[in-house]
Amino acid sequence: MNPLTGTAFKDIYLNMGSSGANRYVSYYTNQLYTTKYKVYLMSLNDKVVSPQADGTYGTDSTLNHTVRIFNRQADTLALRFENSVNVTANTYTEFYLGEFTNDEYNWLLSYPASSPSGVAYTLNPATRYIRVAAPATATGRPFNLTMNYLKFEPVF
Amino acid sequence: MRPYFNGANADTANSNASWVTVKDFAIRGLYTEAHLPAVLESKFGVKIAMNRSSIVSVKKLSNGIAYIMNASGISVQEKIPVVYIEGESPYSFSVPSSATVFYRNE
Repeated sequence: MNPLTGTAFKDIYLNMGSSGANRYVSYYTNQLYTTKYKVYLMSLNDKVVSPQADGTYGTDSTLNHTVRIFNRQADTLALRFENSVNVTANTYTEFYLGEFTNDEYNWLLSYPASSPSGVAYTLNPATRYIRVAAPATATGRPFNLTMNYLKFEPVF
Repeated sequence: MRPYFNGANADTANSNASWVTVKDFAIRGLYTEAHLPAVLESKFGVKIAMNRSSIVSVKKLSNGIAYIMNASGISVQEKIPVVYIEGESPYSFSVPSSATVFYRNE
């Protein structure tokens, strides 16, 4: 429960310890139009007692997350955005990553592009591939990744 | 809306801009002039301000009522919304075999 908003979190936590250098979790979206967006990362870096009785996981260490956004071009990925943030422990607010300008939306909206939940299942020229990655080195810190959501706020 | 759908193919961009403009103009339900709410919501969740002073004329149709307005009543923020990518719905991940992946509700 977020103590600031009183709302529940639903997220993913990749517990990788010391062996997750450069590892990542990836997403697709077809919902970004051609405009400038402010990008925010909501990550909950905390310790949790697992209900599966496999003990407490998580850390008090700061975790480093790098967010990369790619265009798909003929089955290759072209990097369009890259920025890193330090996800400090027990921070219940969004981390600002910077501005991303989406340069092209070259696909008819009437084509099915995503499920009702917003998860993209049709890959096309409008698709953006997103990775949230652990750093290459993290002296004394785990390579864990945690993500509640990425937010793209249009700049008008 | 045209600037929000730029691309190499002008026909695709124009088609997208046209669709995004008109897709919220049909509202489910019957709203007579006497009971017209201040805000209507399209099936796509877009809110439309129904400012009475913007209504130029009202046409009764066989399947509803058409309000001819001199302003759309829809903000660009409604058309181009904030996008959320939810962490618990990944496409894939690259993790070492020793890793544990948790999908959390807390």
